[in-house]
Amino acid sequence: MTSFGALFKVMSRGRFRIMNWLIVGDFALVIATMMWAFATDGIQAGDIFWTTVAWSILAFILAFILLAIQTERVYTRDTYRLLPLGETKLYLTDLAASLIMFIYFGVIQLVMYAVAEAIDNRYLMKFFGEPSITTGQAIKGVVGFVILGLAFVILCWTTVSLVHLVISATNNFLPNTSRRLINFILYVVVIFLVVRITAFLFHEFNNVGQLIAGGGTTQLLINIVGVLVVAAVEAILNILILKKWVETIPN
Amino acid sequence: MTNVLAIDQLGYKHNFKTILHDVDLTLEAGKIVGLLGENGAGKTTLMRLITGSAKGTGTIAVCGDTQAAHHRSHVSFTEQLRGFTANTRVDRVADFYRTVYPDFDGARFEELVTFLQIDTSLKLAALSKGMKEKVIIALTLARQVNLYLLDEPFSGIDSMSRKRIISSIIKWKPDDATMVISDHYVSEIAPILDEIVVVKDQTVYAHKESDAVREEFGMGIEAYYESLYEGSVQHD
Amino acid sequence: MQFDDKVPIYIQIKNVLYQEMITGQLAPGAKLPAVRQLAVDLTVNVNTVQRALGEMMTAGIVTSQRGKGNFVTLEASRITQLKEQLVMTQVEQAYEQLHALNLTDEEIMASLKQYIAQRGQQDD
Repeated sequence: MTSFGALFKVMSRGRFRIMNWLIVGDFALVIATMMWAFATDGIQAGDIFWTTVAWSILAFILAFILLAIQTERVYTRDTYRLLPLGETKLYLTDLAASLIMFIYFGVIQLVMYAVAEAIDNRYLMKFFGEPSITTGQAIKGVVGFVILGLAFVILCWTTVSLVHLVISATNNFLPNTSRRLINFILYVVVIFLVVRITAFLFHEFNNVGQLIAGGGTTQLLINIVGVLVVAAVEAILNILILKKWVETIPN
Repeated sequence: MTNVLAIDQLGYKHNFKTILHDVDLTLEAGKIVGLLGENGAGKTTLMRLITGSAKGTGTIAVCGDTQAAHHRSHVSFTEQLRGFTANTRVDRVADFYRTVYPDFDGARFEELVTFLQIDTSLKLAALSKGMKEKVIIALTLARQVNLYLLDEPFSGIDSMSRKRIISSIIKWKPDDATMVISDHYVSEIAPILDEIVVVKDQTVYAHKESDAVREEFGMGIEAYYESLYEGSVQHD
Repeated sequence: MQFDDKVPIYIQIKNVLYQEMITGQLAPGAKLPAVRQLAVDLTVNVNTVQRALGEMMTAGIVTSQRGKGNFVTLEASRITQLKEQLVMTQVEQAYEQLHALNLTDEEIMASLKQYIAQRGQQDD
C-alpha cells in the first residue's frame, strides 16, 4: 500500500513548482510596477505596500484556482486512481497537498508584505497611527482571520469537487439528453451556492472586524467550526461518489 | 491461489448502451493470455473493469479478493501516463512510480530500460508513439504483481520495437504471474500465448488454449479468430 | 525463429531441438539452455518450452538434473533411434503423398533416384 508520506510527496511536488512560478511572477510584477511608477510619477509613501497587496490578491486567486485544478485532476487519472490505496486516503492526501501548498504560498506572501512594509518605512504603522487595540487583540484577530480564510478555501474546494464528481458520475450512466439537463441544473445550483457563500463570507469578514474590536472569540470559533463541518460533510460525499461511481479517462 | 482472476456475471453499460454483458472468465496463475477482439469490442473496458477504473455490475475476484480497492496492489496496467504534464521527463515518471508503488523494482526497471533502449532523459512530449509504449511497458513490468494487463501494447509500433517488447515480456514475466495482452492483430504474438480469450457480441465469446486450437481445428490462432467473426466455427 | 501457426508450438519446439541433436549441434550430454533463455531465443512462451521439455524427458531424450539444468541424454543409441524415427516419419510422409498420386513402388524409387541425380548435376 502507498503510504501517506509517499503520496503527499508526489502530489505536492508539481504543486510546489506551480506555487513557486506564481511567486516569481507576482514578485516580477511588483518590481515592474514600481519601476514604471518610478519612471513616471515617482514613488509616493505607501506605493510599495499597496502595489504588493494589489498583485497579491490576484496571485491568491490564481493560486486558489491552479491548486483546485491540480486537486481535481487526480480523480479521473489512472496515474493516481490505480495506486494501491483506498479512496479516502487518496482524497484526503490530495486535499492536504493543495492546502499545505496554499499555506506555503500564503506565508511567502506575508513575508513579501513585511518586506514591503519595511522598505516603505513602516508605512502601515504610520497610516493607522496609534493602535486602538492591544497587540494581543491584533494577533488574535489576524489568526482568526487566517483560519477562517483557510476554512473557506477548504469549503470552496470540496464544493467544486462535489459538483465535478457528481457530473462525472452521472455522465457515465445517463443518456446524453438528461446529461445536459443534469449538468445545467448542477451549474445553477453551484452558482447559487457561490453567491450565497460569498455573501456569507463578506458578512463574516465584517464580523471579524467587530470581533477584534469587541474581543469576543466564541462567535468566530462557531463560524469556523460551522464552515469546517459543511466541508467535512462534502468531503465524505466526495469520497463516496469517487469510490462508487467516478471512472477515469479511458486510454 | 491457482486462479489469479475470477469474473462472474460481469456487465457494463455506458450511457444506457450495453458494452459488456454476462462475462464469466477465470484465468489461472502463470499464463500469457491473448485478449482478442475488434476495435471497440470491449477489450479495454474489460481491463478497466478489472482494475476498477470503470464501474460495472457482477463480481471480479483478483487473487480471491473481490474488493476493487484491493485489486490495485495485485494488478499492473499499462496506463497512459495522463497524470503527468507533457514536459515531465521519463526519469521523473520513474521516480513517481518508485515512490508510490511498494512493489516497484528499480533494478528491474533499469534492466528493462537498457533492453528496450529507452532514453530516460527525454520528456514525455518528445517521445514517439513506439517509445512511449516502451516506457509504459517498462514501468508496467517493473512492478511485481500477480496480474499484468497490457492494453494494445503493439499498436502503431514498428516491428523491431514490437520484437523487443515481446522478448521483454518473455524475459521479465514472473513465473507465477498471469499476463493479459489485448490486441486486434494476432499473428505476431500468437507463439507466446498460452490461451486466447475472444471478446465478441459484448461478451467473452470463446476462451481456449492456443495449442488446443491448433490441435483441435488444425488452424492457426489468427485463422481461428477470423473464423469466429465469419461464423464458420461453432464455439462451445 | 518462425513458427507455423497451424501446428502446436510445443511440437515445433521439440522438432527444433531434435534437429539440433541429430545434426550434432547439441551433442550427447550437452547442457540445454535454461528454460527462460530457450523461450527468449525461440520467442515462445516459457510454459510451452516447459511442455516440450517435459515430453522430451518422458521420451528419455532429455534428462533433468536437480539444480543443474537439463541435459541431452548420454545414451548415443537414443539419438540414433531418434534419428531413425524422424527419417522414417519424413520418408513415410513422402511415400504416402506419392502413393496417393497412384505411383507404384518402382516408380517412386525411380523418381527419387532421378531427383538425386539431377540435384547432383546442379550442385556441380
